[in-house]
Amino acid sequence: MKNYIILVSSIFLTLMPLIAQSQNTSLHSLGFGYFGEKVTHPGIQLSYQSYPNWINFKKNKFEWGGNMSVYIHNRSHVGLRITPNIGYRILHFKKNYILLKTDVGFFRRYYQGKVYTIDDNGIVSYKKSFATPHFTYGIYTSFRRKLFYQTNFIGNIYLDMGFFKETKVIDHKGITHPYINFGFIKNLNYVK
Amino acid sequence: MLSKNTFWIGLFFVCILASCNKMNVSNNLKDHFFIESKKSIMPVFVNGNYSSKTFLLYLHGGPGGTSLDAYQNNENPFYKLQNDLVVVYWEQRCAGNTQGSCDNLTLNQYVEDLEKLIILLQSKYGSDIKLFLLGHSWGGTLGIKYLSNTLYQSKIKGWIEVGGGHHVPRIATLEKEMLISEGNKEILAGRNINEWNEIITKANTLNITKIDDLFEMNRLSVQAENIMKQNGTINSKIINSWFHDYFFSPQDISITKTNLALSAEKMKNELASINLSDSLQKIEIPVLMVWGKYDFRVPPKFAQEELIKYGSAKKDLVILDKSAHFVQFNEPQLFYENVKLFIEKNL
Repeated sequence: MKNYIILVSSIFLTLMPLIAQSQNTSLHSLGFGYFGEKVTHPGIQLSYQSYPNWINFKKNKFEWGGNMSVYIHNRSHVGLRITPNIGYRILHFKKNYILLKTDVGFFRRYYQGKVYTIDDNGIVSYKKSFATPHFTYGIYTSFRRKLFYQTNFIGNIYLDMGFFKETKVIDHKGITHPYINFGFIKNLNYVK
Repeated sequence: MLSKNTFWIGLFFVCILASCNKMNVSNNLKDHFFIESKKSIMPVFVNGNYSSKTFLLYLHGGPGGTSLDAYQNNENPFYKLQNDLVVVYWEQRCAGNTQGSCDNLTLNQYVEDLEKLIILLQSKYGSDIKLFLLGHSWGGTLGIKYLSNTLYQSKIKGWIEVGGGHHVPRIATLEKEMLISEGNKEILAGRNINEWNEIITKANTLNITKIDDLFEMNRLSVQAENIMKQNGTINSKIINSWFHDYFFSPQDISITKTNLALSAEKMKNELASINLSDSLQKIEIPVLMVWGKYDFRVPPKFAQEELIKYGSAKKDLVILDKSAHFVQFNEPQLFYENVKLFIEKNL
């Protein structure tokens, strides 16, 4: 029950900026990129970002959004993360800026292989797929470069580097994973 | 031109027919699955040549170690053995890549897990497979406990004990003796005098009836082995690069380290009093013991004492001169040859 609450809350909070959009000074974007657990265990990330009050970009330093990432750690597990996030811009120089971001939400670990059980009578059975739910949170640095077409700000290329934790993997201990994520964020509305 | 409907119906039947093929286990086996036992989800990797239906089940050390050291490295003797037979790499409870609960950490629980794995292997690959067990260090303890059950032993063709630590109080006494005797030899030879003096002094202060001192003695042994490696007396271990293991292998180093720390803490009390020497007489299948001459952690003198206690008529002890506790990785070629020969003789 607790895991379903975390999952639903994560999805809701991830989509909330989209649901709540009404200000025409807000900028909304969709992103797509490579997500690498420990860099080389590959995956993809879809993200949504909202920049409230974009018009006052220099003053307003917050952005918020949500990510959904899937990766494969070969012969181990497939990880799925759904997390809303919030970022704070710490540096802005010409077309470049850096955000500190944190996210929190739902993680599911799908075991890559059948999971066998043997009962007390020696009868073997298996589950074709098996997954365990975890709570997750992360912290990362996001390096962004703005892209323009003529005078329109059309999006960013980005590089995120950081760590995420999944809780209760072994006993009550969680595991921290470094990761890298890079790709392109496309603005859904244009602002000059 | 085929109509669209005809195409999809045809494809449907092709899929049905293709799915009806009986699954054959190919000679080149590469399998990966998990076994769940009392909330612990343990990975198993099965690699090798299936044609002889001979399986070597590797019981790693620790407890809390991993079977994936130098995994699939060209020099790894287990990798070489895969040319001739199937090697089963099993991550034990609260060890290596295993996830889930670290409760129920007792020797009896590990034995129960091992029996379940053997039932599974026979179910998956045939009840006629020929099983050999190889236990390193803690894996030696686990294997002996398993084999002391005659019903379980009947499933196994042969037992290979590598640096096995199945009588910890006796081992601790011999560790201290070896640290002092070898240390004095090294000092006389003018090698690493300060380090050895420090080790000998510390060893003399330890009271091995106290659990913490017993494990401190083990740490001194590790230190001694490192000194011998530095001066070339023993070979370096073959290992995969940190880069390879961290970024490209199925191993998750974060999980492995967490498991090792948890196991060490939870098994401490039981480990300190383990004594399975009396169980050796129950083991009547062929036995090979492989030890390192400079295994300070489980001295070769212990192997010599224990060899005669085995109930088996066919038993042998091989001591490799340039090896310490991880003999399989210090002299991998010699290790491979000895293990291969033992298995071939006892099929």
